[in-house]
Amino acid sequence: MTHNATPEPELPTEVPEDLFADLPGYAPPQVTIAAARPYLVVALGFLALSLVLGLIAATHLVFPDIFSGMLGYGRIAPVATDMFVFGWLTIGLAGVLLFAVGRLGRVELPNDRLASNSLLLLAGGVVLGSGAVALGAGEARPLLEYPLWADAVLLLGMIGFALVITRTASGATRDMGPVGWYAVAASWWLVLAFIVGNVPGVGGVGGTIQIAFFRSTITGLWLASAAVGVVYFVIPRLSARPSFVSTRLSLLGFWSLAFVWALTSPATLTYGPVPDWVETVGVVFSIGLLVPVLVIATDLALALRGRWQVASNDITIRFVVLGGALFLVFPLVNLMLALRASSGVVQFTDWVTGVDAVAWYGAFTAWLIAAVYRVIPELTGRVTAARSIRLHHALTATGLGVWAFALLTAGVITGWTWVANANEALVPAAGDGWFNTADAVAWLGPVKLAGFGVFAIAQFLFVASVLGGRSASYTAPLVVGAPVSAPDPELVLDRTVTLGRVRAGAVALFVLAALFVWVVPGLETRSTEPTLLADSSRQPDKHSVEARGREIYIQEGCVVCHTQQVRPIVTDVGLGAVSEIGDYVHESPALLGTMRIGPDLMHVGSGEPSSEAAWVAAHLADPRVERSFSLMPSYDHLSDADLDAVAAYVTSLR
Amino acid sequence: MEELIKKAAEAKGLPAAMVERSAAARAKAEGTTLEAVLREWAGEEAGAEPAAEGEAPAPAAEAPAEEAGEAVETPEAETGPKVEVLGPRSAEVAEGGEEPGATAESEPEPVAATVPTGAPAMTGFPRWLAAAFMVIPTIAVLYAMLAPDGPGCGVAGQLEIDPVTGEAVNCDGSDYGEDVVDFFTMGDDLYVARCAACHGATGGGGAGPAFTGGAVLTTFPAGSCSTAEGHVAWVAAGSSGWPTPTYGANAKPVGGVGVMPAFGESLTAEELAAVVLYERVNFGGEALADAETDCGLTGDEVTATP
Repeated sequence: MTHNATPEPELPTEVPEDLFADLPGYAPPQVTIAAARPYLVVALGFLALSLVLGLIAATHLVFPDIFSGMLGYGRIAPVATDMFVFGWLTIGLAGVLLFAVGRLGRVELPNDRLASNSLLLLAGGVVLGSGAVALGAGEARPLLEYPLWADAVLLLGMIGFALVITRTASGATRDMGPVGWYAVAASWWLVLAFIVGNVPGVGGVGGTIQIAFFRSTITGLWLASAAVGVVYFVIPRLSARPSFVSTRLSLLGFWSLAFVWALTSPATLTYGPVPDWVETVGVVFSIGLLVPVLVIATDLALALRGRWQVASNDITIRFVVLGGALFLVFPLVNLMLALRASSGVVQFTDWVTGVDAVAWYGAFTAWLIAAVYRVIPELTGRVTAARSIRLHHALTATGLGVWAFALLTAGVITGWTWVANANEALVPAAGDGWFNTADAVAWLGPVKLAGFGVFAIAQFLFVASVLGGRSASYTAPLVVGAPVSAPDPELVLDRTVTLGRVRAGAVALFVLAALFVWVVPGLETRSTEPTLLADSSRQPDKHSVEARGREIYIQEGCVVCHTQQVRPIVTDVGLGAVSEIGDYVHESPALLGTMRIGPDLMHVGSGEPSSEAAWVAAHLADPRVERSFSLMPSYDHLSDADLDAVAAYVTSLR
Repeated sequence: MEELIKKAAEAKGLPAAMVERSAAARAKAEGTTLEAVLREWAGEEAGAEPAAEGEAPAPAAEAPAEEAGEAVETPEAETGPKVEVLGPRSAEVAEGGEEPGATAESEPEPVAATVPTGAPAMTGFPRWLAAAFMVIPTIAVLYAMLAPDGPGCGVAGQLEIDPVTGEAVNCDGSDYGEDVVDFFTMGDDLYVARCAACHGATGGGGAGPAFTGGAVLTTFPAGSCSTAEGHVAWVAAGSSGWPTPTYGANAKPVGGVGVMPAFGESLTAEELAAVVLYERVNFGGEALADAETDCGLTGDEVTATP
């Protein structure tokens, strides 16, 4: 690959707007633009709100005594994360995609009522779901905490949005290239992923596999795909290249992403109580994920080749580059969770949050921000000052860098401390063993908080400056797609990839992946015989005090910080019998958990002093009396009866 | 010239200024003149173009059939390009497949010549990326083939599961974290490697004194394994580092029978104790349990109560 180092002298550094404006017969699609505007405004509102809640959660991990009850970590952390993913990223990406399809395809929305009603349902679903989880109606299924009725509202909004995108795209008068593929495919993947994630009544390990599948599909097939589509829209604008050049590389990137990403889903289950072959599939495709990511990143970089001079005039390019760098990092940090050797160290630690930080808070957010800066002036007629964009970028990159780095570092330290504990025959789950871990990473707590704080403040500034920017006459640059009527020979390739084909292929690949890494292993785990443990201690009688305790355990979000699974590896020595698929067959949802901010509770009832219900109840009411290093919120807002019920449930876990 | 630009712009459906700029860049990239490129774009010159166009799957038929195409497509046709996207070759499959033999790199570029931008031709993809396509899936497939059920016990931190208690244990079935190391065997290995040259493989002596026949326990009697002037201290310090002129209970002169090297630097405290344990038990005949207690190597001691 040769890089053209000498800038083309005839290229003007400032591309005159009229270069784009003088196309014959062009009129911006006003209805589409009007429909996209409220999406972005709502998304920005959710961004600010979710980061306020995120700050409460982050503060909690350093000063655990400040918040409890509705603002306790177990309730507020999932609310903040879900709102960030569904409120900010989902609605924001939806708005930009809508705009991009209308603008590139030069087409008006066939039905703007559907677009605004979909937004209403999406936003309503997020608000209702968040409220429900905060009030204690959460489902204890990571990223799927919203109760089913809130999910239904959200799903209707997603279907509406997918219909809007599909109908708009099918009326396009110009070929939209990759933007079209990603917009159409991603919007249906969103619907499918959400349906699969919320199929009710899947208990046991099958439910855990279902959640893992949802997590990777919503991350890869919706958020990543939509964000990549958005960048394919933004880059030609930044580089003032009037038509994207879609290459075979774009196509390869798209289909390999479609094929690989969903199949990486068992990556988060390594060493867990799932069939071995499922873990191996997760590892294999987590390695394979490097292919689409490398291809897409290369394709985007090539689209900027020779046009850096133009693109770098716009400060927004910095967010594109930031997002691109993190997009490249993601498959690597994710692979560490999947590979068996490294997952034994980083699984269940802050590393898990670090992966989310790199993807959701990092790559996708940075790309969406870049798009918002490019789109908002056209939507609202307000222009953000370059100075504030520069500041926003500096604070975002710094905050995110510090936060993500501290999370990943804390993850590695925590994992190694667990291994060291095991080697010194200290049980990592309690007493001295847990203290060693808490002590080793305590210094990173304030660093994480500071990093996240800077990141959050940067986004508050962003929301304020974008919504309150100065009005200015703004001539939007026009980015045109290739004309459909007279196809450019180069784009003949794209014409064989009709959007109908894209949609059919996307759905087919999704269904195959769902069968392979959810349905088949799910059925396998379902037919597993219950173990002795499942029959004895993991099945509280209905209406028993233990069953009530389990309900409160779910309501308070204990599963956010506590796992209930023991792996057959050095890290988990001393935690008791290794967990098997059969242990969970009676449970729905199975409370396996994803993080150990607190100790594992699989067999906590057979440890000392946690086998005494009175001690557990006292510990819940005031965690730092006996354990000064505990990060658990105080649960003294619960009644004595409820505390006793939780204690009875916890001590029943033997 | 102006006219030519206008004509080319019309043919491309793009503004004149843009076409001119693009054509200039194209000419530069291809080493031809601006006029030649414009002529080509304007359709005045029919060179290699028709051949390339003829190869392309009829665009006009395909173009308006977006929705219709969806209905007509059979699922088999759908999976063609999709399933094979992992390799560079699939790009050609997707392209129509008329030239199965051509590789991405060697693809002739008549098609790219008409890209209406100032961009360098961007068909095909970088060679290093093509290499990555080959290497990454190969690694992934190798992983699946070599360890379909994951690594075995002892690899990647993996342990055995005790069939009775269900707890994770060492690969040989012993409890993890308690007496993990067999100190006697460890001492045996160390003795063969570090001591046997002077003291004999069977402890019969050589350049150094013999251990057999109760000699070891005469010099360092029971209870003096890990004391300040005991057995371990002697092995650690050696004759050059020993503070007094004699050593042992029977006051043997330092340097009397050969020079004792100091092992305090090269062996860990645990290894020192293990090799001393081995000498006392194997050559001196001391009971293993007694020697373990004496030398501080009981498994219990490293087990802390949580």
